[in-house]
Amino acid sequence: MVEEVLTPPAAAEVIETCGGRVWLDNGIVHEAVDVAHLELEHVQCLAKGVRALVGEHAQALLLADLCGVRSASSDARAYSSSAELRALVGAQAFVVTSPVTRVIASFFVRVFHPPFPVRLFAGPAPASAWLHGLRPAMSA
Amino acid sequence: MGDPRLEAILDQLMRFAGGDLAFRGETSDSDDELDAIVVGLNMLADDFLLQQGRSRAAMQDMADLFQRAPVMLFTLDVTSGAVLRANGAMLERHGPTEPDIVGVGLRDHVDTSSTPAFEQSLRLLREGVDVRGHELTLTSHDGSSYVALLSAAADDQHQRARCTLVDIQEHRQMEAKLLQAQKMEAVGRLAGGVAHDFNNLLTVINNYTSLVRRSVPDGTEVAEDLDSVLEASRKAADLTGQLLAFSRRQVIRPKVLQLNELVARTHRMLARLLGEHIDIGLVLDPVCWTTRIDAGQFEQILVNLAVNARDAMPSGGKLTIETANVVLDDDYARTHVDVTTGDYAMLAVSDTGEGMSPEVVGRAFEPFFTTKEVGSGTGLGLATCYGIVRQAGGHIWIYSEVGRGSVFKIYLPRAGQPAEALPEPDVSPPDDLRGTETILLLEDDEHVRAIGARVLGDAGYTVLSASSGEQAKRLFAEQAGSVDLLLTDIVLRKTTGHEVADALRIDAPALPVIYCSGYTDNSIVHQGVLDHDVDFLAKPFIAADLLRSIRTALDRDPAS
Repeated sequence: MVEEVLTPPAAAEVIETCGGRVWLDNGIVHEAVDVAHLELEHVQCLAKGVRALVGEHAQALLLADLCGVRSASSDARAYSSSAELRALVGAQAFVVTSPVTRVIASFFVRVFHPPFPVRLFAGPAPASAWLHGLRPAMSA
Repeated sequence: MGDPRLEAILDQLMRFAGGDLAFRGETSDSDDELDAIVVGLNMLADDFLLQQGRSRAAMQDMADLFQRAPVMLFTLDVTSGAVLRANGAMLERHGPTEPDIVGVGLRDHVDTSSTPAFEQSLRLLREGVDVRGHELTLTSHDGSSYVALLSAAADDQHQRARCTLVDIQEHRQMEAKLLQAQKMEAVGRLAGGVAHDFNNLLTVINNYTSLVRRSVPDGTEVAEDLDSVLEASRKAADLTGQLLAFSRRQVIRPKVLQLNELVARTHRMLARLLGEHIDIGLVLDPVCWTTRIDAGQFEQILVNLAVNARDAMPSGGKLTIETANVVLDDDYARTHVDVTTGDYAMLAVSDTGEGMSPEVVGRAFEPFFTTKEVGSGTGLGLATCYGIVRQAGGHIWIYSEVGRGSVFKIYLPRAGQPAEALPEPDVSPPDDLRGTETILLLEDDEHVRAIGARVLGDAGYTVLSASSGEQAKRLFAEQAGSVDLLLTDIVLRKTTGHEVADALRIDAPALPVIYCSGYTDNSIVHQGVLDHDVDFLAKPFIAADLLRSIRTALDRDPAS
């Protein structure tokens, strides 16, 4: 287990997946990844959890905590530009608190070019603020 | 020695430089910049290998596509015209091995008739202009010629061109066949229309001549002259009958029949027709499928083909009649115009005669096309066969070689039902063809109407003549039930005989009706197939035919 930055509020419905926990808080889906070596199956489990939270057709504003992740396979990163994820995610903010997670998140963004807005943040507060700022555009 | 973690990173970089992309550096637990470099290098290696795999797969796809494409693909040196690389389809045609074509000038494979077009293509490519669909005739490695379309685009230096050659030989042949089929259709429509008018004229000529002939004593010069007119009229009627058969407008009564029975029934007549110098061989499939065809028409096909074969074997030979079950598949349908895939009963008639050139084969089914001497043939025999087979939904095909003989293959759709009994010849006509009943005669051709009324009147009938449907209905109403039979043309100017008959039968449901026509019409005849229980008299008719039809219809028990 790795130390997480994000923790769910007591009242939140938390879905446990093979890649970590997901929950909805104030219109934003939070994703606390709790594996050190992120593989494709972990990302797919997390995506299923997000889909369960937002429903069949909606797109999620996603706040992902990668703080404990030490590596991510190419397949896992390539999944970020898949059609399945394109339909699920409206925008994604990564919380990166170390040089390693910053590199991993950068590879997510730079190599596979996710088809939705993505930004990296040093903490959850500015990440949430950025996502909230996108809500009017998302609901338009 | 420096920092061991930096040494490890340098070692990883050196391995990568040496091509060892499988190596992965290990991180410490410090989660610092050095760990981030190691993680980054590991992910770079992962992504490089992933992209490399994808690129290889894509290149393999392209190579497979190039090699296995059904069209000929190759690269060409536009200066020398040499082929630099060729795919499988190209080798199949111009190989068979790579050295046969690669490094060889394509002009060696281009027919001399296409050399100017090929040189023009090379010139354009050298100028950087793309070539689109230049038609070339080429010679395959087996020596056969074919027509293909060359398209090519030169590279930026105008030195090499990527080229395709699309074989359009089959397409050209299909196009020619289609044009021929369209021409046959047009000629058929024309012939059918002419035959219709001729049948009316022949009805008039025939019957007036017969009337005059009856009043002239036998043995006189006038009687002989009139007999000559009648004979000529009969031959003209045969001709119009053949024209109608060709144009698929002959009225037919198809039945589900087995070809073997029809061949057996015709065999003896063929033996007499062909003479002793021609042997007839039968190769009949005992379980030949049934097909739906008019027995008389089938006999006509056999006779026409046999006569053709006889004329092709003046010094004798062998005629073979074969039946078989055949499945025409997609491949066959693709290369033959108007062929539907499926099960067919096949009749093949082959001879050991003079054979035909490809040019003659191409025109063999055209009406009035004949290779026989003037006066020896009408040029309608094979045209008639063609029309009959097409009317039956079938397909006819010729294979012939000069000096080797000919094979005619006729494919008739499988009926999938047991064979019906073969139709018996017409029952003996009533001895007394006279009568006293009242006949309503509806015919819009003035001359045919007049001669019809004359023949019927002379035979004792009371005739009410009408030139239109309206007049016929009016006369019928005025006679208040005294009309015993309606004799009507099928094709009328503003209505049909069928509509008039239906109208009259509202008041007289049992009214006998005889329909009369020179060609098919869809009111009682659908694509030439006569409805059941319909009395039909084909034009041109002679007086005896007309009177026999009338008497038969009047004497029939209404309950039957």
